Amino acid sequence: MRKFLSLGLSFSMAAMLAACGTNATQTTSSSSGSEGTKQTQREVVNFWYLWGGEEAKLIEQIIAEYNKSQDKYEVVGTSTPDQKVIITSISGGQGPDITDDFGGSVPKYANENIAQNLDEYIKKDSVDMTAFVDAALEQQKYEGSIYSLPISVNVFALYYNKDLLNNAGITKTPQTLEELMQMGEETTVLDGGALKQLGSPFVPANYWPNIFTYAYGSDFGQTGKLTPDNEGFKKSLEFMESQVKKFGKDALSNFITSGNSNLNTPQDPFLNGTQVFRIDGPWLYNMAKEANVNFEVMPVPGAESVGSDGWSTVDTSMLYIPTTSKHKDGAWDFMKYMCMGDGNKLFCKLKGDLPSTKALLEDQEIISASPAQKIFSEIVAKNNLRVLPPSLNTAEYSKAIKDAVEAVLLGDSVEQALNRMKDAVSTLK
Amino acid sequence: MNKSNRQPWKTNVEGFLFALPWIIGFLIFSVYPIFMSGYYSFTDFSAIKDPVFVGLENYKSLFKDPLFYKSMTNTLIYVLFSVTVGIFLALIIASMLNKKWKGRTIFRAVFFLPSVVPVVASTMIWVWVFDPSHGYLNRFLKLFGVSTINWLGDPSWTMASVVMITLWGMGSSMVIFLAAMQDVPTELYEAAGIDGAGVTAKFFNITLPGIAHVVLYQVILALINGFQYFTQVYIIIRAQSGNISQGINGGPRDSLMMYPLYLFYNAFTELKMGKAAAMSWILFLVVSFITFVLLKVSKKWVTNR
Repeated sequence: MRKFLSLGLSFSMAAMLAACGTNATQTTSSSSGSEGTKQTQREVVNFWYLWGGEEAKLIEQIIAEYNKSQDKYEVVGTSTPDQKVIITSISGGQGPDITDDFGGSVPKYANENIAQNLDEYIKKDSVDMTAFVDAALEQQKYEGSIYSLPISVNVFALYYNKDLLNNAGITKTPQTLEELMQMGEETTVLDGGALKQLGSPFVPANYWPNIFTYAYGSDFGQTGKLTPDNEGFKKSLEFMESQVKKFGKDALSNFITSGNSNLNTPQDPFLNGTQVFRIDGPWLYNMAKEANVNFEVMPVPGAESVGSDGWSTVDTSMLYIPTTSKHKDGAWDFMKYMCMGDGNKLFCKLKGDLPSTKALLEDQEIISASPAQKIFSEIVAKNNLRVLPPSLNTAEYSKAIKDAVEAVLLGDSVEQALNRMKDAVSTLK
Repeated sequence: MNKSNRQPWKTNVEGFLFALPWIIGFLIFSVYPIFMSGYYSFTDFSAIKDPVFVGLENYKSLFKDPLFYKSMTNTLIYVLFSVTVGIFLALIIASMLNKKWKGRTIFRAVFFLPSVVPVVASTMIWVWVFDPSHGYLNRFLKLFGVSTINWLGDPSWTMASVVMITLWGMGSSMVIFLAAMQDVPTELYEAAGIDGAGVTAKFFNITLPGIAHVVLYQVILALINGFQYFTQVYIIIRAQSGNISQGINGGPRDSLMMYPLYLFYNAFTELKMGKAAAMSWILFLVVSFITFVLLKVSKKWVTNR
């Protein structure tokens, strides 16, 4: 009996070990096979992407289009909606040949030798990098080299509630940042010590400080030369300080705390009609329509001294080739298709994303896909987009900015907030 | 074969073989990671590139880092209040529910119920409850003329808020105290009653000494849980930033930057695994030291171990 048990145990352990040893790549390959592909022997390029659900189906559609056009490479897509899984696989040498992420990750991935330096590929194919929106391309760089290509961009616009402006007797839209601040103040309603309506775009708390800074014509410096106390950020903080003094820190911070924790829910102040101006992304457009808010969207105006409008921070979705990729040439070919070629047009059309190339920003098929697409595409085309300097310390730098804004909201003076910020940033590169 | 005739070494080998799957798992998944985390704490390690030995650099950088001290102070304050108030309340409620009165079974269930609610769900509900504009707590307090409190947005209230969340879930401690109290011999209470002892005297002279070993166990457990307090603050901070911020965020003025949260940011946002490993070893030493002191001191009041 014992012998039988031992034998059974041995078999089950062997089976378990065999199962553990199965190569993930093989499994992916065996489940592949797209219809209509050319039947020649092709090099398989594994593409793991973060998109899932319905979006993953769209990505598979784009992959199928690429495969149809190919007799050299066959891309096999796998939806892997967890960044950490992809990174862990790459570090174990088992990762994909090409994958996607966000532009903010580039310095980290370049420094950790996760992402392949693309300079040689770009030079070899004489790729015209000026085809990309400047700030979007900036996010793909680390120490002067390019490590990824942007597939789409995210920018921000100024939403305003027309009914609330009319109620306040304001009939025109703000043409300058100063007008926006003035209208924000005029439309803020304090009732019995509590804020009933917020005029300024302080909710969400994350977007307005950087965008105001850019709209003042300032920025947060360059890699290795950070400028936390730049004039634009100082003026933005001074504006918040003036609002804290006028409406009270408790009233303002209560409203902002509540607004931030209820973003995109029925209690969201813009969606429930208690916020006049809001700086937010394209996703708010349909939500505001569904909530029956009478609103319009416009580019964020610049300060009087700056003149132009469409100021925004930008974030990109990007593709990169892991250094462990076994089919780098194929991955590069697919990357060009997805980020610059027909694939990018199809991607933006199907997904409703904003293109990162200047040419597609003028493509009628893309910009007329929806009213929001048109407005936000125009903002990208204005090219008044900025990013925090790409570095390994971006998370700490963002935190220092957030902390300074929060300190002023909690009653600190601008000087105190900026001094603390400078201290925190002094060790960053 | 007669059982007594079997060779002891054979029995031992067989026993060892049966335990082997667990031993292998224990060595691979517990012992090895513990030792490796000790080694990593002396390296520059991102979990992607090979670790590079840097000696005490991670420890030195931590002792120069203001957020390290902030997170440690926050955690110590949290532990102090959540453990003392939590244990005290659990004892009081258990003692009340140990008496014979109508409806006590329902109350036992009511007090225990929060312990079975998943922590993510309960924390999300607490975020609503604490909302300064629409939250139920402020609405309730308004009935008594209390002005609006920004529970999770004002740094002077955040710690009180998270301690409150912890106290709401102290039902499991209460149940363990209740079980321990039911083991205290009733003759002692009868004898004390004949001698004229009141409720308070009975509690301090019979109940408390009778369950002192359980109190000690619960204090140590609450202490360890307190030092590992992470999930609730992580969820609160994410909710407070509209689930937008992916970076480092310790709540208003870093008042919710608990030690494990800062450790998490170092490990998974910054990919500074070496620094995070150093933090985990410092935490281990702090918890071990406090537990050691507690065990030493407890010899004076825990007599029934």
